[in-house]
Amino acid sequence: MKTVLKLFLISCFLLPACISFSIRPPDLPDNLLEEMTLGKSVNVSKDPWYVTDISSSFSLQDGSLVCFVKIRYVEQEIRLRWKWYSPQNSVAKDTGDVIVNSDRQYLDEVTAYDTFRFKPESETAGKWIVAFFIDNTLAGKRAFVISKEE
Amino acid sequence: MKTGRNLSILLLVFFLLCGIMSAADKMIFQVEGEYLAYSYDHNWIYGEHSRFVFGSYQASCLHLKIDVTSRLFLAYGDVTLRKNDEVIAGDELVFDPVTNRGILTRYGDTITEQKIGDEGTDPLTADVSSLESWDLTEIRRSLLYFSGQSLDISEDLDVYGYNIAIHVEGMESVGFKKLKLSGVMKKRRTGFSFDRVWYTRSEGIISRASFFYNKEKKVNSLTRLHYEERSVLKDYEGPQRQVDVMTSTTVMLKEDFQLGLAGNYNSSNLWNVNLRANKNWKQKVNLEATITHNKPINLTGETWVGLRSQINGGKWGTFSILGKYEFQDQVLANFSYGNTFFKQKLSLMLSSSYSQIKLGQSSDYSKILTANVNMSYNTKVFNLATNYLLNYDLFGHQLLSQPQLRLGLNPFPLYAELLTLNVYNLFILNRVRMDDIIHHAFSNNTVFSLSTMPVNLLDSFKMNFSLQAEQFLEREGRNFTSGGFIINAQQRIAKGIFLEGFYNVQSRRKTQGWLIEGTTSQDLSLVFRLKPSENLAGWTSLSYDPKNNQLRQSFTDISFRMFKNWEFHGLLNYDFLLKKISNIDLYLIRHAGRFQLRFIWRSLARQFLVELVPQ
Repeated sequence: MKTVLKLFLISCFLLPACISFSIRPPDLPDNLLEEMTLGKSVNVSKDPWYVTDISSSFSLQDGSLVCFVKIRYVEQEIRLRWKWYSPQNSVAKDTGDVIVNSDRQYLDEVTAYDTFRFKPESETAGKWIVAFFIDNTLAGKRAFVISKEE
Repeated sequence: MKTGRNLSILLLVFFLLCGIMSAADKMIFQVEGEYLAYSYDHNWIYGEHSRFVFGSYQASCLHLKIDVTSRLFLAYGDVTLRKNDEVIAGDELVFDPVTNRGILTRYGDTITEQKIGDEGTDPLTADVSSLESWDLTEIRRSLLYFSGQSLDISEDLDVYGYNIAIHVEGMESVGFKKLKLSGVMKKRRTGFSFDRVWYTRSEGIISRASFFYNKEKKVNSLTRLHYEERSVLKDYEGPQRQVDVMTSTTVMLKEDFQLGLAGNYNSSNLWNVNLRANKNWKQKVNLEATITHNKPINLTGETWVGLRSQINGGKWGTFSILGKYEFQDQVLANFSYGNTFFKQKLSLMLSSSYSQIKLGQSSDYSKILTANVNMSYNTKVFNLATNYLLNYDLFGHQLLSQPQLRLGLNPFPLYAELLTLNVYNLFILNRVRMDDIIHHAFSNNTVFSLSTMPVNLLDSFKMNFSLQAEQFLEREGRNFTSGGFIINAQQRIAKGIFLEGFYNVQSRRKTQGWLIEGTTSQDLSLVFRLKPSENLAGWTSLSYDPKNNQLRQSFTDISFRMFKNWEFHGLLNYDFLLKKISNIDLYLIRHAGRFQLRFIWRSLARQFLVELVPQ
């Protein structure tokens, strides 16, 4: 039993050398992209909005797809932008800046989406990329496939 | 007694010192940032406004994601690489800090990629798409995660944090000035490691340590020490302490030639050692020579020398020869040959072995010679197999020969695979000769089965059945006739709710001369299944014996997701014959990426357990 007591006392002296109660965790980052989801549409009839038919594969018959984003801890005005790239790596659609929170309130959660409609030409089939920017800085990207057949 | 205690303290201090000494690892990646988080559950790192050294560049980025296990590194958002006056900017950098190679991508009017790294090196190929499936929120949902502003990754993929705060189930806990965050769930690394020490009132002090050395394609060596100190226990009458040492070393002298040494030692005077040399010739011929010494407790040791050879002759088949000799005139020998012919329809296997083994401590030896021939022929319709076994006990003068023949139809579909028919017959002949007495016996077994696919009779109702009959004949005149059928039906009551019924009748008749014996058993069970969503699943079953009009057993299993990644799982067993609950098992499980934390209550053993189980 004395051995166990010795071990306990040694631990009591050693542990304070490494443990500290004064270390505070850093503050959480703002404008945090919490979700970036692709799907066929967004259900806006209920709050919060959510994506229906989540997928990364679409067919030309679908006609369109959405890229839905959820951003947390927004305090300042932010500019959102979606760029859709074709299989040839060139921009097929650029939303430009969409300004959010211009009155600079604290928003715990911001949800937004952009709809991409397919062109009827067959060359849209292939591997696409959507890149999402906050304040002109890449915040996330997703790859998806558009196929000719269902 | 006192010596034992002092020894245990000395061992502990020794192991601790070795642990501290082995902590000096070489780092492959060091990062500082405004916010860095490491998930112990998943072995992931997320960073914001991060700065790190990449090759000869000072790099910075807005976001950083690392999957430590897969060694995937991704920096994105305002990525900048600086070296003297050179500044390279981009949107995304996939990189490997070990080889200092990377791909920098820019998302402008077009997507452009730039190779980063030394001239002449191959471009980096890494698929980082798996990093898209998680983010900081996922890390903060971990059972255990750390946050701070400085992290290092060692070449053994250990993660170290400085001035780091621990979060347990989302709640902030104590901080550490320096801490190895990745813990024990990692691959073994070179050097000495002190695996664990613990104390229990029933086992005393137990400690484990190991030494591992690995030089790729040269040397691989592992030595483990297990020590138990029982002198600290009250009223313990067995040995005061016990030591187990296991060692295994392989030295690759050439790519096709290696030497190995393995040994075990136990302080109760039990040990063995094995030395082996192994040589390959073009992956076709393998030769292994071994010398082994075994020393059992309180018995004379045995020293064996052996030679084993395997020859892969391609279309000529595979040969294997083994010969072993022990210095007290014990012998083991084995030969085998296998091949396939006619587009693998016909397979042949021949084997023979001889053993001459001492009977205990006496001067007598058992001498047994066996031979076995196995041949099988498979077609689309039927399969035919024959086997001949010969066992000759040279010491007991007993010879057993056993030829057997198996003929079967392959499962035969009928009515567009609605029904499946299966028939086979197995004939076995036994001939035992003991001195001048010869005993003959034979048996024949014929099995017939017919089963259906599940048939949807209504939208919400489906059923299937199977029928089986078996006739077993013996030379002694005993006959067994067995038969039975099983019906299984399922009714969907609502979405995710099912009721299943299962009825089984089995009958067996034994006839021998005028004597007829028979048994019939029936079993009816009902199962109620529930799975309305991904978060809730369960079933309860009830078994009933219609013959005796008696309820037998009931089992219930239910599991549901609670909050975060916590899950409740319960099992209950009620015995209607004993009229009591036989067992209840309750589990509270936290799914945490690489592992599960389980709190378990078992009523049968009256145990409460806490387990940390790797996934």
